[in-house]
Amino acid sequence: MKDHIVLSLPSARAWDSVVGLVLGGLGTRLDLPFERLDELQLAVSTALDALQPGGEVTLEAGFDADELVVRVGPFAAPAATSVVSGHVLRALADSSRATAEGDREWLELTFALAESR
Amino acid sequence: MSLAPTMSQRELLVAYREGGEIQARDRLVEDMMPLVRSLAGRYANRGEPFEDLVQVGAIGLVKALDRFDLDRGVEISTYAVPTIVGEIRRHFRDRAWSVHVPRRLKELSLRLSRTLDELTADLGRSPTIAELAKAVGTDEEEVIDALESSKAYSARSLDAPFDGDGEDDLLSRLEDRELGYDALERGSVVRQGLAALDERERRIIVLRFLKGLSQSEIAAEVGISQMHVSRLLRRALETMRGQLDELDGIEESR
Repeated sequence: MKDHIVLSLPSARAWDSVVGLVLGGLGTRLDLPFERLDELQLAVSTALDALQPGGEVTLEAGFDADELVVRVGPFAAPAATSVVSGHVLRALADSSRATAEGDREWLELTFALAESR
Repeated sequence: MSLAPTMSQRELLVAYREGGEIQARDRLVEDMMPLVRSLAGRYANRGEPFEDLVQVGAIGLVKALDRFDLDRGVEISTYAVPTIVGEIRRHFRDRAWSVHVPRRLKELSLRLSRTLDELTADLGRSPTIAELAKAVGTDEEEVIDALESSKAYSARSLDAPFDGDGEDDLLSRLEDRELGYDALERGSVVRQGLAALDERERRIIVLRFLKGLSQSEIAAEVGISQMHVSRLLRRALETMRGQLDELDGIEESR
């Protein structure tokens, strides 16, 4: 069973550093190497860039010894899977997929942990 | 045309400016690099890597070679000094922090940048935050704070033209199968995003996302620190996204 961290905050760039700090703390607890942590932060930052301003963004991080799954949203579909961000996210995360909830989309990024350490 | 090894600086300058001999300019740059290194040395230990200052100074030198009035009765080196120094000073001005960051975090961030490269080389892998914290003698929270703060550090100085090493035509090479371009969806869209980047940013994007190099590998290949690679990647992706939003007519972006 995975442990979870849930963070909700305004969808505006001014708050992105808070996400960065939370992921930094999480990556440290998970003993991630700098490069892996930096790319986790870059992936989430890329995802956040696809959000429309205003409203609220929620980041859910579920983790165990093997993997970290980060869920970000909600997006106005299909922003989460645009060409550039889609390619970047596939390169940075071990897997990425968008799931629909009504007219909104959530982006799920999975990072394998065992091989990162 | 081959250049005589005995040509004076003035003769080389005339060959470059009036004869368009790029080899002559390269010889001049090579001859005058000790001057650039000496001037860069005056600004060392102010938080910028010495080699970055040398590179910036070299850009100033090339500008001086391009602008020098051949009819003036002074040596090119006399004219070049203020141009080189001006370029280095502009570099410091441009690298301002975009938001207020406490001095201790700025200093820690600079120390971390150096330590990260050293530890990566020593360990043969990317260090953890705990290892970085131990190496610089602080706690993990402080390291995380400094790393996050460093993202507010402007990298505008890197907008200066970058003299790549044979990869100066990346846009055309992106269609080369060896770079894996076929793997990208709707390549022309990505191409438009890449067109908004400067040469160094394009190179870093290609190395990371098309060639699959790690940040530390890119740092070694491009000759800059890992943290700088990280900042440039962020800025390049942001620029690409802005460009594509503009092309798509998206009104709002964060």
